[in-house]
Amino acid sequence: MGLFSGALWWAGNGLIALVMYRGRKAALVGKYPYFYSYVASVAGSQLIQIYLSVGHYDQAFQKLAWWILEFVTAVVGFGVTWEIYRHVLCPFGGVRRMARAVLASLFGAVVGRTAIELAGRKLRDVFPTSIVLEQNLRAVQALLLVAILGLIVHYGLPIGHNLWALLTGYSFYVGANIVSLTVTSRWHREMWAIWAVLPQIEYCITLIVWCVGMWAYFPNPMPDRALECDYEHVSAQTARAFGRLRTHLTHSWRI
Amino acid sequence: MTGLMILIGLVMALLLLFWAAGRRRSDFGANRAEEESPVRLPPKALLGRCLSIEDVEFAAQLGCPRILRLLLRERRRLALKWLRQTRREAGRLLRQHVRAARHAADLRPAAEVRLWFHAGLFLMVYEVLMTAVRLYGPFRTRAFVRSVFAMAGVLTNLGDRIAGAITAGRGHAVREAEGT
Repeated sequence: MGLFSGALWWAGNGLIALVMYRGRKAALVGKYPYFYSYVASVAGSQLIQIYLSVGHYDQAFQKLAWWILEFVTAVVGFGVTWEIYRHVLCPFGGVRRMARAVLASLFGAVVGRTAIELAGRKLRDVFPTSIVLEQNLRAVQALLLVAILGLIVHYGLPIGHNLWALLTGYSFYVGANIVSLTVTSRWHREMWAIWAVLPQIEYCITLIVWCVGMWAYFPNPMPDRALECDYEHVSAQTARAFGRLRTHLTHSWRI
Repeated sequence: MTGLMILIGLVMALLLLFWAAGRRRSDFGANRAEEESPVRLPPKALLGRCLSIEDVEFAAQLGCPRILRLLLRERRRLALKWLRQTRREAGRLLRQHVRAARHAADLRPAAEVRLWFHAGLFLMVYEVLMTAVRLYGPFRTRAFVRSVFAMAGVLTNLGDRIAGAITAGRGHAVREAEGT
């Protein structure tokens, strides 16, 4: 396990360096600044961890630093979601409005649920443990990604090669991260040996997807402005058609 | 919380798969003829013929249970096919709407939600009918639908009468109050 873990660690570092190198070489950094900020923050956190492990700091300090770095990268990770949202929905004004409504109601639901959960608790019990905090941050990211993905699937929005890689890689990473964080927070002592290597595998797979997808710049397909229509008319027509279909469906069985 | 986390993971994986499948058969440049066509309802007469009781009576008169069973099986298959046709039409309508709506700059979330509600309502009725036909066959389903409509009619009449009685009672009370 040690050798395999070490190989994964080196592979991860090599891959992140490659993603950053290709980003600079193919002039992608200017086009996807939030994504590359996230990659840079992950690389920076790796460097700090290397420095701490070489510098003979005590275990408790290293653990604290590790959790702080994890938290910071999880927060910066929201930038990736924003990057996806910005690029995919920008050309579609109407769908963007829909996305804003969906995301606002999601945030409202999350805040409402948290408020109900925390109501009546003592102040010292309100602050979660670092693993729970990261888990919750990832869960919120996952919810946002699910909402954006749902809208992309529902409206069949076209996506370029770069954004496809960004979305697939990040969704996989967040999804896998949630599962492994949940498992380690539940059975952290007994299962740690097996699950320790899993985040590294997730990390490497994500970086491979990003390496392949972000190798060169592929612009996002632009919508055809000629296809713009009167939404009021289309919506009313579809609602009427559904009404007719439902009536037809039930009334045909009465005859 | 664990259940929720796993659920989110699963939903994400599912959506990714769904989306990947959608990419392959991308409808971005779908044919316009389909887009502009009106509602294509499956003929009512076809279902009427499928549910014709005379055929069943004739088959029953033959005194051969195998023929009767075959007839009932075939009628069930035809009824399910008719229902699936309406479902396909609903899918086409929704796709047509989505194709137009994604380019609309004036898209209204409330109107979209209302449409989803309409689509959901249709799907619910469709699923109820599909389940009923699968479990009890088309003839009993028709009887069930008729009795539901009859009951709805009775309840509507009852509601109307109660409302009428309340209005009349109120009018009477007002007249009495004015008289005194």
